[in-house]
Amino acid sequence: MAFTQFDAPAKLTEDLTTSELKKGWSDTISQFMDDGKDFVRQYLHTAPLQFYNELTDAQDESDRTELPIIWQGFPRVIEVQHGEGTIASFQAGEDRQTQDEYLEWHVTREPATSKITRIEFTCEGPEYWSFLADKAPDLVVAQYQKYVSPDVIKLDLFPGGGAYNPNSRWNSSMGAMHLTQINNTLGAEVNIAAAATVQRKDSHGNAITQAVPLIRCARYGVEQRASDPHIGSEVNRLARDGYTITLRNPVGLYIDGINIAGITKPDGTAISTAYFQTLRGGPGETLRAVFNVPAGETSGGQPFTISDLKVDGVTVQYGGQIAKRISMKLTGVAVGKGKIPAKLFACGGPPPSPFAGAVKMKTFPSRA
Amino acid sequence: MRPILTFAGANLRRVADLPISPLSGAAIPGAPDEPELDVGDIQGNGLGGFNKDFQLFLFLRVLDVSGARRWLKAIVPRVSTLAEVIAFNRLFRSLRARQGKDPIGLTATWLNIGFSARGIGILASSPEAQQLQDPSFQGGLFTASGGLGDPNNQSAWKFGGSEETDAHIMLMLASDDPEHLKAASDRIDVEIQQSDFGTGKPALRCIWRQSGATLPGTLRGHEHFGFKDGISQPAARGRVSSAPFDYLTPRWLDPLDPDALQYAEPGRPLIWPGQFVLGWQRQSVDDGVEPGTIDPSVPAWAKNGSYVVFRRLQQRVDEFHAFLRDAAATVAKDPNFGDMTDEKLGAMLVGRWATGAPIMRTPDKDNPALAQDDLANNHFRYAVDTDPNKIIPMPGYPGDGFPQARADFDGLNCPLAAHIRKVNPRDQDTDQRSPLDTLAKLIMRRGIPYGGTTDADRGLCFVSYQSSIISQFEFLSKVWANDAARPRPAAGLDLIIGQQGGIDRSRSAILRAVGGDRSGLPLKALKDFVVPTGGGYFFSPGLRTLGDWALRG
Repeated sequence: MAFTQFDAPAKLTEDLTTSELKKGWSDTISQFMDDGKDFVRQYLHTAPLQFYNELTDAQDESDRTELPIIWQGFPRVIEVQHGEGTIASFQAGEDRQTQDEYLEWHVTREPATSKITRIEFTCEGPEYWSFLADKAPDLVVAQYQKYVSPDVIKLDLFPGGGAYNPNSRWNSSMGAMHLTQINNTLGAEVNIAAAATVQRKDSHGNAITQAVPLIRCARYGVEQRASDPHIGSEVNRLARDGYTITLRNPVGLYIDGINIAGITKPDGTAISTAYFQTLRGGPGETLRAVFNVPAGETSGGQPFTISDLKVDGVTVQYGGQIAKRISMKLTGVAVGKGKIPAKLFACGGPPPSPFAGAVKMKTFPSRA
Repeated sequence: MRPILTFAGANLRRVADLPISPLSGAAIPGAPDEPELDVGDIQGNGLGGFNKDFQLFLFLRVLDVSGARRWLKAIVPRVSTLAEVIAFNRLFRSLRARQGKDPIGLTATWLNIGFSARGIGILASSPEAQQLQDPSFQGGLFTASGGLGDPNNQSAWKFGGSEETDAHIMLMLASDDPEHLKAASDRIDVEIQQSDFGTGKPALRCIWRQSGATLPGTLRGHEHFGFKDGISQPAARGRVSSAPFDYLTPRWLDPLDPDALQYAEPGRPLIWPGQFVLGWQRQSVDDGVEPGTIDPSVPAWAKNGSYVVFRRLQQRVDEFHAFLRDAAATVAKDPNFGDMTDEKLGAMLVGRWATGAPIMRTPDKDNPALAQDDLANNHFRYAVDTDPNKIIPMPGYPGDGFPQARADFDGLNCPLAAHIRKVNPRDQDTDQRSPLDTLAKLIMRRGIPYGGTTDADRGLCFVSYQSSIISQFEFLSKVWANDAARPRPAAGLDLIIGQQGGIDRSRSAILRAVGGDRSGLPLKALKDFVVPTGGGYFFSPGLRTLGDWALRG
């Protein structure tokens, strides 16, 4: 598609307020794309790559296809360990470092009663925020004040007046502005998409087509997660069909939606969609959302908190009970069906380079 | 009710089912050892299948625990085991094979029993009831109903819509003969009346009686919308005796066909019994052949038990057919769907024509001969072209000569939202990773229609067996049938059973056609065609545990 810049995630306009910021972010995404190509080039060398940078690489768009890839927001790894829908799983999932499906959340409780008053959900990439922090630190402070707490001060986010701290208390113990889990990065998202375009063969020389053997072979993520195997297998299938693939602009990770059926107020009636507000992004492309009881809501004439709600009959004690209802999305773009002949690679890292001379080794962000 | 195995032979209408595994003496290279199931302890309907034309479900509440236990003690000897059901089913098949038709005079009457979480708390103990760790079972169907997307009608349910109307006990009676069924239920009625044991206050109260029966005539084996039901059923692994090839589910694939390791019949996958009965090896999501683990959270007393979901689903038959007529006429205006008829639209929404022929193998018109052939009517993949399977030598069977299914990844022949495709995406990858993960979601269905074809209140007694209500039955309903983007994106909802939740019941499915726009044509249904009107989540324990509960004082 003929466009001139990669946009902000969800095409937000409130952050990239100058043309310099817009270009800087576009350059950042473009670099991720080029890094993805470099990764794939380790395998393909001069053969055609099946991953491209939509900004810089012209493609025949006549059969352009967009493929949404959807997965659950609640960590599947936790469910494998603790059972699906169990209190133990929700308890374990409250630890921010276990939230590895590109969705993180923070639960705010009233100090006196421990009742939950707010659950913030974010899937904003840390690189976006470190970019903003570098170029527009005051904007970052203002956004934290707007979205997390008016009590945020600059020194909290930029300790000692120095570099941005993505793990300040306002993005950990007191709130959730963007992703912090080590594997939840935009770079890793782009890398997994690129890595998955490398077609793989098993020990018999046959193409590997199933999600779990593929991720085991290519090692682009953790096979027990919901996200990595699924993203990888969807992209790889497009590659096996001969397409050239990229991620749709605006590049990001998004909350696709939430299923609120079975979430009830104290009087047993269903909650409304107003309980889940999208604050950044839009429907099907949400970056930040907050779950709370709308102002003025009463049940039996009394106000109530999130802790007074029930999900499938179980009182809400953990943010994970709401996270379990959320589905996540990224969107792939594929062009040129059937144009690239299959080249299959054995499992593991790239084969040794046929080119003489040392090639500078690059590290690539990985979900593995 | 699913016939045992039929095919379209030149002269034969039904295949000669052998009473024992056709593969006795013939091993499949690389096949795993399958466990010898505890057939004397496991109740018979889940893995065996009652397969009866007449059923009665009785839903009871316990009023006095010691009286209820005495009552339970009296009926335990009549609770039908898997051994008994298998023995009868094999005998029936053997006679029919020789006679060429259903044998006259061979009948059986079965009884199985299940308990809700509250029922177990009363008859056994609360701590034990809480040891069954399925959170949905603990809450009960009335708690889960909202999350299943049900309309807000639980107060109007016949039973099970609230804690007060939750059935503690479900009795399942089934017979080939309606008079035998009546005799068995009359006996139960008397025993319930006499459960006062002289105190004047019966220990149990029947809160709902639900009859079910195979529909008559040409609708035999069909449900009330007119579609053949129960064609695709998981093939549980396991043996029923110590003999090495005495499999619960007969194996029809040639041992050298690569699918023989994972399929019992063409298109019918083998699944480890722990997916349907607690305490046995479950399906592995990493390996299509070898077993997964036994669930370590299952207490010893719960081994051999199954979770049983019962849903009384009323079917709005006239509305459904009116919808098909109106929608087909509208859709036919789109040049990509110019040949749409209500018959074809129905087939696209179900995934099978009314006869049961899968649209994957016959997209343009019904094919009754294909529908009749149990070795062909379930053999199709979605993501890739389907190849024929080689089956064991079967005299009189001409082979599967019907056109094989062609790859339909994007849902042009069979919409992604088609009912059978939504709840079983087969070889397609899903949001749950891979087809191996899908196998761990499947349920064993043992339902039967209720109501006559002219009754206003008619529908389906939906019955499913699984070892996890939340990860199997509820998952298929909530995450796949009820979500437009799962198991595959841009699908829409299952218009047959999918529910939107909330007050607005409308839901959309996407139809796509060859040459049509990729985004497809949305088809919107404003109202539900299937409405829940009662039900419960139950646990059917093994016989020894039943006996133990009965003897507690």
